Amino acid sequence: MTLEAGIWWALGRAVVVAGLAALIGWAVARLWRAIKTTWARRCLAVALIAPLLTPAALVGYAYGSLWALAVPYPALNEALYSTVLLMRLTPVAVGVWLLAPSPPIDPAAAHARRLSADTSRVRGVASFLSFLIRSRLRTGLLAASAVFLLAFSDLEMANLFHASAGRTTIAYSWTIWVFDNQVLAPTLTHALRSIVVPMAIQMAVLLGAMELLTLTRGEWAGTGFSLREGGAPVAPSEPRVEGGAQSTPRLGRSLALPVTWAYVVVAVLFTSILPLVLVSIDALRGVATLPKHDWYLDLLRNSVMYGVLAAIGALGLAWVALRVRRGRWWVVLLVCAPGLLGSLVLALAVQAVIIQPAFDAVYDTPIGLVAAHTLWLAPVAVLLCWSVRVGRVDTSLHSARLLRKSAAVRPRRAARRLAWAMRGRPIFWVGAVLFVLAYFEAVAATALYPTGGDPMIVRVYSFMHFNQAFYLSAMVVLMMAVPVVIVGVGAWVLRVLWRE
Amino acid sequence: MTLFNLRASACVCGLALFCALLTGCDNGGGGTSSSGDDDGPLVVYCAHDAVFSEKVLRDFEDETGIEVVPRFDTEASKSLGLVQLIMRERDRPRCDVFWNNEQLGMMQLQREGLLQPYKGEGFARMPDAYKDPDGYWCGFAARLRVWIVNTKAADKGIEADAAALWQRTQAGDLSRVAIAKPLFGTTRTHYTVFWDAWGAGKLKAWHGDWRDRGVTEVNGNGVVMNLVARGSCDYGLTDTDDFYVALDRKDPVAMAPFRLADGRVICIPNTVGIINGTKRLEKAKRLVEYLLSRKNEKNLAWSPSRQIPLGPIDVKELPQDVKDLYEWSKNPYPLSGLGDAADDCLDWLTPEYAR
Repeated sequence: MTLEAGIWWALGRAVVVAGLAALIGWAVARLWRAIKTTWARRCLAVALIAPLLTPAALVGYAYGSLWALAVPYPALNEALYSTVLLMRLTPVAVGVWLLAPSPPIDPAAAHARRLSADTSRVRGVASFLSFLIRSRLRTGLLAASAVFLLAFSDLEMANLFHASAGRTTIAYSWTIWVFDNQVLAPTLTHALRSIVVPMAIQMAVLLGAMELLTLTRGEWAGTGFSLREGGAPVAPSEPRVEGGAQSTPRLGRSLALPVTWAYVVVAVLFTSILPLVLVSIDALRGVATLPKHDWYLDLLRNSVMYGVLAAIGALGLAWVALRVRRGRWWVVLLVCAPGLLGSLVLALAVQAVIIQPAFDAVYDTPIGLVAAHTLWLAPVAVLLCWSVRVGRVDTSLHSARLLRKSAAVRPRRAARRLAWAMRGRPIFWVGAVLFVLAYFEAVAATALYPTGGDPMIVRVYSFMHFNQAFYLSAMVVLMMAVPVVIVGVGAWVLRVLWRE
Repeated sequence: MTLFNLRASACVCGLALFCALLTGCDNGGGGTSSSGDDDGPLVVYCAHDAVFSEKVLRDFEDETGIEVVPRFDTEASKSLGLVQLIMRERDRPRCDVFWNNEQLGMMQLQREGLLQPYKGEGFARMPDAYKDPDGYWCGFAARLRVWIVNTKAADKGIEADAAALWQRTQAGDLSRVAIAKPLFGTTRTHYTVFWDAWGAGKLKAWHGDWRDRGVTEVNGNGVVMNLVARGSCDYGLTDTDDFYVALDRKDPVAMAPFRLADGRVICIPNTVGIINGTKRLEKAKRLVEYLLSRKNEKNLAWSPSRQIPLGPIDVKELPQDVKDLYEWSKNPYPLSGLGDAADDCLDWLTPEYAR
């Protein structure tokens, strides 16, 4: 199978997945806006975030037997892979629909245009398209672009689903070709030369998305994204129109609402809950074997440390990106672009750099891996930090800061609590998400981990090729439990420290 | 500061420093011991599956007090990933000892001048067929290429009989036959043996014919084993250690050794070599001796991977499974002269899969 074939397969798959994800994401974003109760919104938030945070390796591992049964049927296997990709990446599209800046043409203007459409005689295709990309379609294209970049650069899932049935390949992608080639190539630069075309495709999509973003009417900060009960959320892509019908979605009156709920439930079941349950059942029988393999504690420690460092680095990068003056998009692009090219390209690039003699002090240390993870996380960090308004000071936060200078103890304490709720907690949870993503990332980790510093995911991912075993399932569950415990304990400790 | 206040910044910096300290890896050099060795831990690149080899290295640590820092390869790229890594690191080697799970990669490193010879007691006890005469590398604890068969396929008349299985592949659909991608690992050795035994023309024709008839190609022998064990394929080609993973899992599988037309089997040893320029030569020699020892071969024979001892050993001390393998392995295809064939075969395969 050639590189060209891998590019075409990945391109076709990514376009389909991105298109579907953008559509489904739109429906789920509507559902989000339609929900008024806090508990329901929290359930939906968890259901959306869970597939993103569930490691691809776990999904592949849990469904190993199912996949094995599908191998003789290439179309079924490809469909299975694409479906898993779609379900895992749709939450990204939802996030874009909810968080993207407002389009230049608001719904009221769009409605006015529709009303006047019949009377206009001079209306070329170019003007129509220009209108479309300045209306709600722009957000859809942004959502599709984000999903496309992730689907196009996927290696982890592709590697688990990939096989060849004679001349027919299954779940093939250029990333598999590049992975094989970097093992076979005499030098990394030789391998890197082969990714020029995929990188060009990714850069084109990325630049297109950035161009769309610059067609922004409102400020980036003009979002009403909120989990608070009663605080009717306002989507930046669908600005509130005073007294208009747009602010009250009619979704609840139709079948769309339950259908969208059903999709979300099926997706989270298929990509998160069911894999975890399947592995946990096996793990119960494997727990007894864990004490015989005490080396996994070192691996877990390594994973945690890499994850924490990468999360801190990505938060720092996001902070820098979000503090630049408006109009300097190139800084945001510079920060986000490497990560959007995917972890494989990033890992190969970092590998090619640190193997140079000038970087001798860095080679075979954790720095390469942490740097790659930091860059890989940067776009997510920018999006999340922006959504929780990191880097901005609003009046209430400013008031809280002034209050902290009070001579009295009670106002100072109240101010600290307020600051925790408004600033500390959001930053902590953004950091937690980044930590979990880095903790479970397998591709860059495999390429860049230093000798003696294996992260747990690398070892587990390698073992997973043997399919399910009880002790391995126990290790997987342990690996899954560690970040949950760390984030839980960290949240509690920071809360106490911050408040006291 | 708008993002962090001073305290938060201090916390973050402290945390980062803490993490950096904790994450420091133990693979650096140290001082120099009385033996002239660097005091740092022994860095071992290990292509043998971590699930089997980790215990051996830990036992060596316990027995000798020499700290070992292993680097394992992934199932997907198998030993070739580590061979390439050692070649890329030729100007500043990190690895002291390379424990490979096959022979061809070691021969390639020897040709590249990346190994240094060592002939100790362990070297002396191994048969000539499994070691380099100049001592650049030495084989131990082998495995066989085998047919793995799903026993439920017996209803279709498919039995674990090597000759019959080979005959079945001569015609008809092969979509229920599995094999690993021949770019890496022992499947690459298998192809190299064909290249040598049949000649390039016949191998290329055979390979093309198998692909035309829909053979299922996957990433690694472990996946082949899974496909057969789960019943997605009726039979396939894999290694003995992978077969025993399925057997121990009580999957419905049986096996038969793969035999060439003249009855010879493909017996692939683990190999060990010391990397040229190591600063921990004495420690490296001790590990080599440990790996080549009778005790280690016996332990590996009793391990879940059922490795076949190559040095002299009392067969009565072996488990029943390995006794059978031991008998089969007495008539192996010689691998030592296959260096050029391996290169030529890989040069042909690379564009087939990765160009």
